[in-house]
Amino acid sequence: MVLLVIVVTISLSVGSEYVPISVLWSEDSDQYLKDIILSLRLPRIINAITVGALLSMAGLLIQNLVKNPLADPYILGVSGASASIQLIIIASGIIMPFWLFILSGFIASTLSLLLLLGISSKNGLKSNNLLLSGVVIAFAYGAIISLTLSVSPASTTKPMLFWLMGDLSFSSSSIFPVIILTLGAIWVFRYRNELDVLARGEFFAKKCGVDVKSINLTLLITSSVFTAIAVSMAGTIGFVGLVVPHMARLLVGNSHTHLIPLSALIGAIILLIADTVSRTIIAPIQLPVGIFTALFGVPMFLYLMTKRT
Amino acid sequence: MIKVSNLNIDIGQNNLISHLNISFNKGEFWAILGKNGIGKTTLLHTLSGLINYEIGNILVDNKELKSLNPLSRAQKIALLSQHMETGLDCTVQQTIAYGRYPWSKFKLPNNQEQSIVNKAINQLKLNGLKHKSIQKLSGGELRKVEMATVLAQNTDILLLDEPLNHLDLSFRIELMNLLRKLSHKKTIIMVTHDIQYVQAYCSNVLFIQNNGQVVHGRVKDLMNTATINKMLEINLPNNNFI
Repeated sequence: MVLLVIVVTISLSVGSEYVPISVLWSEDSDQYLKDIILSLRLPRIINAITVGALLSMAGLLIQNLVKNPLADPYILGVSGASASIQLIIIASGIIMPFWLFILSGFIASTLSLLLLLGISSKNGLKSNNLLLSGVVIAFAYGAIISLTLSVSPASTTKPMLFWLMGDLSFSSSSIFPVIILTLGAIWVFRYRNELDVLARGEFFAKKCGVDVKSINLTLLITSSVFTAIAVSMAGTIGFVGLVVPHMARLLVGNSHTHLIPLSALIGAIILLIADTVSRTIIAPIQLPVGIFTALFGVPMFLYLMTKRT
Repeated sequence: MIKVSNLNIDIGQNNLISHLNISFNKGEFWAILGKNGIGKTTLLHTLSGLINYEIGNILVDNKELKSLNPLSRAQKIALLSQHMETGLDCTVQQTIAYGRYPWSKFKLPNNQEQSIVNKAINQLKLNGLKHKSIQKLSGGELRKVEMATVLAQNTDILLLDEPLNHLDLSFRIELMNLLRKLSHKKTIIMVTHDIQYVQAYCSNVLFIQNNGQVVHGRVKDLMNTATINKMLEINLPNNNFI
């Protein structure tokens, strides 16, 4: 938590122009400088924290749901639906309010989730069916994304690629991300005991009295909603949802009482560091944040692995 | 206590159990015997509530099994399955503590929870492995962990599917002694192929035959060479199976 506060403080100050946060309480400072911090950087920081935390929690839930440590929030194709529709919007040059842009991605993800549920729950919601159907659906979205990129005019290709690699530059001042993150974290934390038991296996959980069918459905919907919101807000940021849950496990073990908050915290910190670097390293040019989540996350993960070994 | 009336279990066209009427009472240690694929595990899973039944009734402490929600069911019945899932990695102690899930909403003080888990660890002699990853255990060690998890569940009814699998000879005897002791206060039903242990430790036996017919009674009445040979379709010479 202390690390998050430090990173937030640094992130508020740095950018294409250095603005110390002391301008906020200094009476003779320029309003323009205050606006840089409060209207530009703060919303982006809040979005980075929200997206990082949501993706990490979604990754934790998905890995538990499909009992596969290599699963990430994008594996079931929910993000692909959102990314496809949003790329088509960017490619077609349609101008729309940002909230409508997010909503369109969210609706596409929801429809994709319903399709996935329809296909994979025919003989009961089984992890393998779910994983296989999700991967196949994700391939289809991959094809749509490639097609959209191939036929788009050159002028729109770059923003589309940025979107695909993760882009927080659209962040706007809104309380919406904070509400989503708070409610989402509380919601997931309610299921910490069930998640502990389910991690051992579905039959084991059934024997122990977990209502596996309804909990699995809840986990699937929750992780999909988290992913859809994150992708809608910032594109497809890779790495966070896959590796952060593992980092948290390496630090605190397998109890979800600790794993849920720690995953959210690490995800938030990694994405915030990555975003801060992406917008400052060759400022004023901004780079896709997904590049830096991997660049920072991989060494951190390898260090933890080595320490554990 | 489990009271079964007129229970029929069918898998597809195959009638595994036909019109079973039986009571499994507190203080009884039952063994279910029968050939491979005859329906022993299916019967055990049906009694545990994990497989649904269409015809007949199963009353657990005078309540219909079907009407119990998963949590209340797990507070009454613990099942040791034949194959153990290892799932995502965790330690032996954590795994055994997950057996406490049915009681987690009752919020026992941490030290009481811990003492129940520790008791199960001690009973299965797992002290030295407490902090070891379950993915690094041998088959026998994994079996002990699974058994300890079942004991940590602290239920009045234990359904055990081949509990002796993978265990060495000396621990088999220790486990059977433990189960016999536990059966004085619980109902234990065990699927097994080890007739010598049934003879030595169980109070009651249930044979499942090919046609879905079931024969059951006291061990002292049924565990003789003639009955065993007939029920299991084998040819043991004399009473020398112990």
